[in-house]
This record gives sequence, structure tokens and C-alpha cells, in this order.
Amino acid sequence: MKAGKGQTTLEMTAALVVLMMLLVASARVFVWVNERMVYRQSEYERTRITAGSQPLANVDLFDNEIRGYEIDESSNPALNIFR
Amino acid sequence: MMENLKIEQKTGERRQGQALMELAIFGSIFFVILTAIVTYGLRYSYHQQAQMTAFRRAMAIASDDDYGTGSYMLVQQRHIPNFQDPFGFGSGSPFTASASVTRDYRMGERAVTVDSLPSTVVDIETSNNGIMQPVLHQVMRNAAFREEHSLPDADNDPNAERPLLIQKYDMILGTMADLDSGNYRIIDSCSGQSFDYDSCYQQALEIVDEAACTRHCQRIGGADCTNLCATVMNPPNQTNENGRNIDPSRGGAWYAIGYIKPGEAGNVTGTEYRFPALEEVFRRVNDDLCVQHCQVAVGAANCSTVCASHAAPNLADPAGAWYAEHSQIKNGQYEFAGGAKSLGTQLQASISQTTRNTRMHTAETPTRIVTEEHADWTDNTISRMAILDNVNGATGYQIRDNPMAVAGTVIFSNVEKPVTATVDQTATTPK
Repeated sequence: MKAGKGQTTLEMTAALVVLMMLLVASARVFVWVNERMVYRQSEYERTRITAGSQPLANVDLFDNEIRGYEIDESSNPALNIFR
Repeated sequence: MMENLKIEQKTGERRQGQALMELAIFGSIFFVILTAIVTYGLRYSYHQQAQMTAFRRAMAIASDDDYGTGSYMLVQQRHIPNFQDPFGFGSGSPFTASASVTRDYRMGERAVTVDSLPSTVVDIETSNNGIMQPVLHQVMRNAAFREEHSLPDADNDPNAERPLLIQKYDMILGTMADLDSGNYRIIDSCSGQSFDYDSCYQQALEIVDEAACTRHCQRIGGADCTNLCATVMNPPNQTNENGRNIDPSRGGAWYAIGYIKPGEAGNVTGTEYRFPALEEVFRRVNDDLCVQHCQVAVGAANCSTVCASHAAPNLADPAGAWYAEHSQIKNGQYEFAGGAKSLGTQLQASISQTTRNTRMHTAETPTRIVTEEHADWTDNTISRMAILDNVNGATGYQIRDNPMAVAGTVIFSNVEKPVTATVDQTATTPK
């Protein structure tokens, strides 16, 4: 009796499919994290002169809402592994 | 033939499931690697975001002409997920960033009003389902004005060389403002609401020890360091004038009074100067941190007594045994070894309390399976804050009749940083 004919190949196929899915997912996450940092840095550079040229204002240090010219990240792409 | 068949059958059985088993093992390792990649990436991203935000807010403060300079510190408590948890629960982590911005045209100026004294604005924020919310907003004056009198009068000509004693003051305490008639105003960074023990110790040392003053002078390339450091400042100074106390009519550095040289009583075996007034401030802080840690570790009611005793602990007592393990002997007394060396909002007493609720419900119908998941969690990290209270008057001058009473102005408070998240999802699987 010859058992396991092609068994290993079959299992390897299934295993490789899952493995590739994991690899792709991790690559997507890695790229997304880098992408966010790149988007943020480019927005930061783009608004550098505007932020530094703000007109003089009256700032109350004890005000809970001291806000500068802050970067809006709401338009950055969200994580989508299946994109 | 039969033997070969048996061997082949056994080998074939061993081969069944081999690849899947290896995938299962390798997959778990892969998940660990994936978690590490995501965690590292998120941490770096959050840290970068905190740095950029802190800088922009410091710049916003500096945009006010009354300040011209802004010092800002941001602490954000954020959630880092853990993908090995079924619901992705992780833990809260603090991300700290600080920035200081000064407008170019204000670089050479000195503070003259209380509003322009060096101050640090501290904001602590936490994450609620990914949305940052404020927890604490604190403004700490990092310096105060104080005046010293009966000093040599400097020439009104700014190009003229200042008297040697005034040069010594300028070197150790920063350039003083000349108020004429031998009166000068100092912006002392050791008289504010928060300061660092090591830098104030060094400042006090240079005031009372000529050798330390000379080393500083030589390090900055000063001229005639020996004669400069031999000049005598208002007491407390190197000559033991006024018994190492302050002459109220002349003014002096509170943190240097009552200093004890190496070899003198109270510092017989020591090799460095002791400054009791400065030590007392941080002893109060260390005692408080000791109590916080002790109560978390052993929950004993006598933690405050044990920590304040500074004596050899009773090993039979749980608090005493804990204290024996976490203390060190300094100047002949027991002291908590995990103390802080600076005042502020990020002292070491951190207590983390995590609350997690998870619920999973599965309903099966003839046509589908519906799975509902609900999870909410709160990770609350409590840090201890210590600053000096009531040390600056409305005009920014230090108010301190008794320098040894400075330690009594230390106030403590807990800063709670809760990070919360909620997950609700429903999955429907058709049969």
C-alpha cells in the first residue's frame, strides 16, 4: 500500500496559500505605516512657512487649547489590506 | 517486500499533516513577527506625530509678542494593539515630546515680567477610541526673579567690563540685570516651581566652592579664573560668612545654605558637598514615591511611617521587608532607591489598572450563523506629579522667608491617564 501519494504536495499547496496571504498582509501593513509617516512629513514641510509666519497673537498659557498650525491627517489613506 | 511496504506505510503516515503542522508552528512565529512590525511602526509613527505637534504648539506660544519664546511638553497616552489577542487588546504607552521655540529677534532678551519668565506648558492627552482627549494642562514656571544687593555697581556703559564679582555671578547664575546702586536682578532657574536636583546642586557648588567655580570658568574658556572665583558672593559663600546662612538684606541662593563640606560633621565620610535645603526638597519627593510604590507592592497601612523613618527597617513587617529591598544607605540614613532627581509631571510612581470586558454571542438559524462580539477595555496609568507651590509671587519673585521651608511647599497629585477602546462587530455567515 502506498499511502500519502501527493499528500505532501497537497498540504504544501494549502500551506503556501496561507503563507502568502500572511506575507502580503504584513507587507501591506508595513507599507501603510511608512506611507502615513511620509504623508505626515510632506504635509509638515509644506506648512512649515505658513506655521512660522503666523501673525502675532495673544496666547493665554493657562488656556487648555493651545494649538499651533497642526497637521490634518484625516485625509491620509486608511489601512486596507485588500486594496 | 513486506518490510519495505511496512516502512513505506509508516513513512507515509508520518508525512500526513507534516506541512500543515509546520505551517501552524511557523504561523505562530509569523504572527509574533507581524505584531513586532506593527508595534514598532506604530510607536515610531506616534512618536513622530507627538514631536511635530509639540513643536507647532511651542511655536504658537512664541508667536505671542509678550512671550517671544515658548516651551511646550506633550505626553500622549496611546493604545498599541496586540494582534496575538483575539480582540487585539494591547496596552497604553506614553509618548513624550517637548519643544522650545524662540523668535530670532528675541534671542538676546531677558525676562522682565512674570509672564516672560521661562515657563513650560505641559499637556497630557489620552486616547478614547483613537481620539485624543485632554487630561491635564499645567503651566510650570521654571525660574523666578530674585534680587541681590550690596554688590559692586557696574558701569552703565554696556561696553565697559563688569566688576570681577559681577562676572562671577554672571557665569554661575546667568547674566544679571543691573538695577543700579549695587542692586541686581537674577533669573534663578533653581527658584521656580520645578527644577532639577543635579543642575541646582552644581550651581550651589560653584557658589560655595572655589575649585568647582574654577573648573567651570576654565571649561568655558574664561580669563583670570583664579581671581574671579576667589571673589566672594553674598552669603552663603565660600568664606562661611554669616554662618553659611542668607543675609536677608543682601539676598543669596536658598539652595546653598547650611552647606556641609566633606569631612565635616554630618558629612564625615562623604567626598562631596551636601546642601541640606536642596536635599530636603527631594527627600520629600522620594518619601512620597516610596509610599506610592510600597502601597502598590504590599498594600500595607504603615508604608508612610516606614518610608518617613529613614531608619533600619523591621524585616518581620511586610512594609519593612519591602523597604529593606528598595532602599539604600545615604549619609548614614536609609533612603528610597527609586526616587526622582527632578520635579515635574513624569515621576516614577506609575500604577496601571486594566479593565477588560468581552462578550461573544453566537446565534444559529437554519440559514445562517450570526456572531456578535463586544469588547471594551480601559487601561489607566497613574503617574505622580510633584511641584513647588506658592513659590513665586504675582510679580515672579521668589517668596521664601525661610529657605529650609521650601521643602514644605512641595505638593503632590496623581495624574490619571486612561486609554479606552470599544469594539463592536457582527459577522453573518450563511450556511
